[in-house]
Amino acid sequence: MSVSGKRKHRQFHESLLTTAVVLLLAGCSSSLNLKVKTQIPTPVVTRMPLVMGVHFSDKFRNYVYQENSEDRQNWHLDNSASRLALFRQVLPSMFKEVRDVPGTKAPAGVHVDAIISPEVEDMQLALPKETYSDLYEAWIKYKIQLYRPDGKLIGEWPITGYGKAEKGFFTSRSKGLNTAIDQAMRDIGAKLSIGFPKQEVVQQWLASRTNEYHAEARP
Amino acid sequence: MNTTPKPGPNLVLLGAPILLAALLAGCGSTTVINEYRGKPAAAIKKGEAVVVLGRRNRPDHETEADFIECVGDSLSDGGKDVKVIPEKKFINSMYPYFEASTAPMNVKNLGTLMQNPAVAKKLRKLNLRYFVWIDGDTQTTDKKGTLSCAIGPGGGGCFGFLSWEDQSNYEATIWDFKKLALSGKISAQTDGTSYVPAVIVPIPLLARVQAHACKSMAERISQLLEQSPTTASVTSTQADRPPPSPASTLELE
Repeated sequence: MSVSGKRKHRQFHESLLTTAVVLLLAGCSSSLNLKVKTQIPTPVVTRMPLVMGVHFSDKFRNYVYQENSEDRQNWHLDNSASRLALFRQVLPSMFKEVRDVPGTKAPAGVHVDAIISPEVEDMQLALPKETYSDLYEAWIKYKIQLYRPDGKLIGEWPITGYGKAEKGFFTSRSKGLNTAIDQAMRDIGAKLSIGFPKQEVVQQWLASRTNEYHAEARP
Repeated sequence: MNTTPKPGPNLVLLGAPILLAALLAGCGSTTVINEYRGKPAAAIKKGEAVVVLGRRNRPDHETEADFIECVGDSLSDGGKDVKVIPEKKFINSMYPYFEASTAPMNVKNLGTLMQNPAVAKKLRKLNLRYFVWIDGDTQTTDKKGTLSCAIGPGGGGCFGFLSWEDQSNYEATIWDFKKLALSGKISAQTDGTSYVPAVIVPIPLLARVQAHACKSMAERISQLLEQSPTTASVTSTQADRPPPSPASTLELE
């Protein structure tokens, strides 16, 4: 082998070694910056004959999961876009009409039967090495608040979504967590769309609306 | 003087039979199939569809999506004109009724779900005949040996020996959608050992446990979907080598 050939050979091995070291260091890093992507299908549910207002508070819109502990250094998970997309996809399938309102009280001249305002209560994540399992897991808890058009709270209830993703040989931590969060979001959408008419507060409110309607109709 | 060197033993020729023997002896998989057949099912008709779905409501494991896909592909490639709806497509089109937390757990629940006109209409439009629910997973049960690799400026290599055992446990539950009845249950348990000997270069001799379980299960499901309504209950074993213990018939829940 010529001198230049030997040099090229050595350079190749050195660059290979550097790449391996960089990859190893990157693999050991516990920091995480993830923008979650979620796809929620259109629910096959029967629409309720209601005009529903929806209000997303700033706290709900801007919630970001952050953690900075020994095991989870600089964790930053942003699923705000998918959170809003979930409600924008699910609510129009549940009601005759959905209108955005700027607060939990309907503005003058805007007709809505009620206003839904969700809040993020909690979000928890688990990695396979933490639970000694082969699963990435995500728990997301929302609080669904239902208001009268005048801003009076009708009632509220929690919805917890759970999702898990198997740890494959080539599954990165970001991909595993994204899949688990996506599943948890789908779960929330499912429980909201199926569970809304079954909620006791909703049934009581609907019954009171019917009674009011009959009282007004009476001569 | 020009002498021709005496030919030495050809390492490739010597190594090939050893490698072949190791492949044949070491990487076999054993599959034990248990089968229960419920109400006599009518053979699937042309144009009718089947959907293969994974159960994902267990906290300790996740039925692998690739296994479900493998069973679905094997059913549709079986040459018996079975139309298989892909799992993801079906779950998305029926959202939110077939998610892990909302999917019907038995035929009675499916009957209740059918009272929802929107769901009933959508399912009928698919011309769906059978639901195949699969629950289970493949796990590595035993690992032995060590293998270490090193890389340096002069090159790299590995040395050692690794072996592990994989075990697949899957159960398929088949519902006849038109009769709203349980058509059968098939369970498949597959075991296999994989080896990786390494002298400079690692040579993986892998037992394709999951693939074997998939193939065995798909064959049985296909038979059940194509069956004439005469068989009551069947227990059988499919194996590359004799099963470790006799199989027993599943009992209906």
